[in-house]
Amino acid sequence: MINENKIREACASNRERGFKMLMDSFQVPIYNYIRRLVVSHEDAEDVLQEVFIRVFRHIDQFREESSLSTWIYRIATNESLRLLNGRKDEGVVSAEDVQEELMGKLKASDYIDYENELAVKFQEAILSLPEKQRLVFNLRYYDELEYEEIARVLDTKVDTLKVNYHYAKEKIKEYILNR
Amino acid sequence: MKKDFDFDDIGKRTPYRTPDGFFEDVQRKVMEHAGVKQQRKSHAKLIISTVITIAAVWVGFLFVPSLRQADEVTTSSSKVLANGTEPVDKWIKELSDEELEELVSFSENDIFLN
Repeated sequence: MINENKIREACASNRERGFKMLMDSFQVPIYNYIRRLVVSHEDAEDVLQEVFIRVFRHIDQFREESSLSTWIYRIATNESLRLLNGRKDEGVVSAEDVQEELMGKLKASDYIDYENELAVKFQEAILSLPEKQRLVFNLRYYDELEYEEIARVLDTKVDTLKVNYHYAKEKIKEYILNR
Repeated sequence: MKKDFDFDDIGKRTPYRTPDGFFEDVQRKVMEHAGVKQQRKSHAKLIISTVITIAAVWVGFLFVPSLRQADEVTTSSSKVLANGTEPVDKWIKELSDEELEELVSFSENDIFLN
């Protein structure tokens, strides 16, 4: 369990030491979250670095109304979507193209254990979901965030998130059984 | 009839892997990027202390042998002087009073000694 108060106290007394403590606590779960969204290790590494550099720059302005974890997940989500949708925003590619590209990366990338077929297929199923459902599923299923926390990360109502999560699970089940 | 999929079969396992030492490496990169000033400061400190150490070693290397030499020179010339004054003293002791008076008056009138 991450002790956010300790990290906050450490950041207040010694910024560098506090930040190191923060990275020690968050870098693995945040990397895993980003990796599940962007698929390739290289992209995940770039996004992870960007996330923590942003956290370091803005940690003094961080308000204590939300938790440190929620704040970092929010930055990670925004940075991951910025990478994925960068070209989409320029009108070059569509959401379907992005999804196809991610599927392609899942099928041929470094640092993926292809011997674990079920795990690969499970990720394929997640990647087949619409973006919002994919985000909710990842945050709830893997990172075990409460719906209220996910609502703060994604700026969405709790009820909507619950419905999204339910549909996501159904679609994943269907994908695994029928493909 | 198709078997239902149980999420517990997969749990939280993913096929994603990372290179060895990845997290240590990424943390170092982020710290370097985020704490550039601190890194530079510590590098500067390291460089300064290294330069001072090297300079101290060179000073020691250059001056200690010469100090020894100087010490040796001083000691040997003192010995020479000490040894050199003994026969003079002996010679002065053997002089008569008249000869001593003559020597003193000679030394008083010597333009090179006065």
